Amino acid sequence: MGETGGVRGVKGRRRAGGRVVDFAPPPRRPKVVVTGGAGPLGARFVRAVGARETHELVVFDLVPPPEAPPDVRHRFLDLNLPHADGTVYKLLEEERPDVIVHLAQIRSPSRHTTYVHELNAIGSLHVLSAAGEAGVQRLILGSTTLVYGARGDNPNFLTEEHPLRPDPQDHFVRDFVEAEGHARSHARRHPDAKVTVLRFAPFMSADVRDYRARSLAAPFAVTLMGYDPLIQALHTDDAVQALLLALDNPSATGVFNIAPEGVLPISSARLLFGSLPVPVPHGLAYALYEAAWELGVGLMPGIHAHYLRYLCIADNRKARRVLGFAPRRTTLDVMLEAARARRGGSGLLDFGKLDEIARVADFHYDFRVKPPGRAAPPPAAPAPEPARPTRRSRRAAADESLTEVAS
Amino acid sequence: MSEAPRRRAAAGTPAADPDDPFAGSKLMSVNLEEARAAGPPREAAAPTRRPAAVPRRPSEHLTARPRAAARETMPDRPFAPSLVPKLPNGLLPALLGEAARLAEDNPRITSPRGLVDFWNLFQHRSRTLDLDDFGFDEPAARTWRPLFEFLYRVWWRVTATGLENVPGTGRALLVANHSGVLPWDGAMVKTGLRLEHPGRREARMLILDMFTTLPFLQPWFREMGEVRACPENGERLLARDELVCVFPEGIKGVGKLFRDRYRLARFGRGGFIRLALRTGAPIIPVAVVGAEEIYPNLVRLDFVGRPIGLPYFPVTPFFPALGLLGTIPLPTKWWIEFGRPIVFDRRPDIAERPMIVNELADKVRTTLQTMIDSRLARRGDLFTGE
Repeated sequence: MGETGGVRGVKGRRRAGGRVVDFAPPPRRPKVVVTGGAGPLGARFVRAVGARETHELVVFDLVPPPEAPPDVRHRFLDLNLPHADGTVYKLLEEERPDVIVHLAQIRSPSRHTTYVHELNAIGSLHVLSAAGEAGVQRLILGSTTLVYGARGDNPNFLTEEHPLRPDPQDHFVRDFVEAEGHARSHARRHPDAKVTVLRFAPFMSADVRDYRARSLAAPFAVTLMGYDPLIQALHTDDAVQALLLALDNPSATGVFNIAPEGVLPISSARLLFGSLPVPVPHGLAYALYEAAWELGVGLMPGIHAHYLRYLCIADNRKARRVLGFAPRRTTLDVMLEAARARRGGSGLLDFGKLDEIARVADFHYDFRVKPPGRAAPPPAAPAPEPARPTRRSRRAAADESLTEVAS
Repeated sequence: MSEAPRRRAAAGTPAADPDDPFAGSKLMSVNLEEARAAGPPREAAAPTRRPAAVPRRPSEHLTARPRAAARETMPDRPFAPSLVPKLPNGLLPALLGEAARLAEDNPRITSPRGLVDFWNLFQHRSRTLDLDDFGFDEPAARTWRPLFEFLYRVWWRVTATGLENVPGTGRALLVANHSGVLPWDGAMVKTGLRLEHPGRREARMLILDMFTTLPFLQPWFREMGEVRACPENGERLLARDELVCVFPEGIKGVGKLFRDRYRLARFGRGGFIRLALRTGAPIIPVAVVGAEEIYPNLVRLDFVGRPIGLPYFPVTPFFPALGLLGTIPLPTKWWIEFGRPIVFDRRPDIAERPMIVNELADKVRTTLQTMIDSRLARRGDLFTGE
């Protein structure tokens, strides 16, 4: 990347005021193809890259990305068709991109398991095989930290080397594991290809509407009696930041956990969202979740309730060290922002006081929790991140997103 | 019974201050003010956060640093405000008064959502959102302290010796013998360090998988600050300069039969040695004497325990014959001895050589067995220690 034009371009000449002025055509910007660029994460990424004006953007998706900059082009692509790899190949031959960012994934369980499988697992295979044939050297794939699986014997923080052990019956998570397997085979078949897999912690922000956000914000929720695992919530802005860093660091290949600092028990998240926990013995809770799922009122299959029972928390130290990733919001911040946007700041829950606790918690993380190794110099390549935003600016951001939701 | 504290005072061991739950918060608020005045927190205090080098000689801790200084240099207690303010005059009337006042101020409280909030806040009455990475919830742990302090001072009349071997700051790995069917020994080691160590150190126990998978125990142990025993967790804790306590005997130790008491079982697979070699943490052997008789475990009926998810099912003279009454431990007299630190250089390469690791583990095991035996030889009566 970083290939500037001017060498390939033909120099033009223009007469001006009796002098001959040479000028170069605008430098050729590296071209990025975003598959799934109209999705929730893809659209944010497209907006962020468009605002930087460093890359030429082409979105492959069913629909054009919402609120995208005008110079973003859209090519129709349906990854669910059996011959989608041929279509992707044709499009790639026409576009000749430098980077493919593959974000065409459904991030909530769906009863249309075939559709989700075709898109999340086989769609990734299509994109990867077409990229191999078209000779695209650089690939960035989105994945999820759910691939580690929630297990009672997980260490508290799962590193990238940890084996992927989701429940074999959890098809939603298995599709992500399969997609990662395809990425690994691609890297093996094309040794000079640079494949980066970003495992995002579950998203949360004022406008995320995935299954977890909806289940936390539901008026009541069946909980597993006697279990209260810690969870993480990644702000979508931090996810976009990680994608941009991966785009700017061509040498950073491999798998990275993109996770926030800080953890929160799921019961505390329910407190913030004002959701009533209904504790049920865990054997029964799995059955209830499965029954609700089969009846069409549940948000996730019963087997996915493992994630309400055991830990599945990712360690972001590798991303910090190699990518220079610095999440700007802790899990508590993100949860507070989302809860405040959902239900407003009044009522019995004093969000002002909770904000204060979050501020103290930030302090706590800065001075006590972070490993001492964080003082290591960040890599030179990534753009310098501003220091932690002040509480006020973050609150302003939260209010802004609140008005966004209101309007 | 009242002799034990007096003897401790006479021996010059610093007596514990009355537990002031707000001492930590005051300390923290001062730091907060300073940090705010100094500018962005990261730059302001990052240098002071650097851990002091782990002293190599055990005597350095006391000679180099008198008690007041040790207090100043101890790491800040986590400031963990609980969500509901402390209620002074009994829980229920205060709650009702608070509810009435709030309902008057804000009619939305009586809406269903307000009631849900009220219930959730009641559930969180002694909890905080300000957890550390492993989910240690200080206000929640505080509510259990009276029970452990009663057990420590009254029930088992614990005498802790050799506390000067535990560093006031910095990482260290406590290696203790395990016993007693229920892991009360871990709780007492922790309570002892909190009450009697000049640094008021909060030890983090590495616990068996069983306690992170059984319902109710999982969130409870997490709130108390305990962490599942695995190399990743241990390394992360030691990298944060915490005091980590392991029981290498594991399930074999805790389910020991009465006739095997004070005979150390195999020390796992030497994972604690690898931990020390990788992190450079000194190993401090901890001999707990008195704990192996609290439940005289006569027979182990494993076939009863297995189907209900327990690794063993003990039969003592009182359990299961007396039911829940049989779970009351015997009030034996306890000693907890902290031995001289065994310091390894940081040698991650040796951690990959199992035979050397096993040899080192055996050395630690022998040291611990010697400490236990010498205390046993001096011990008199089981219940009074005279």
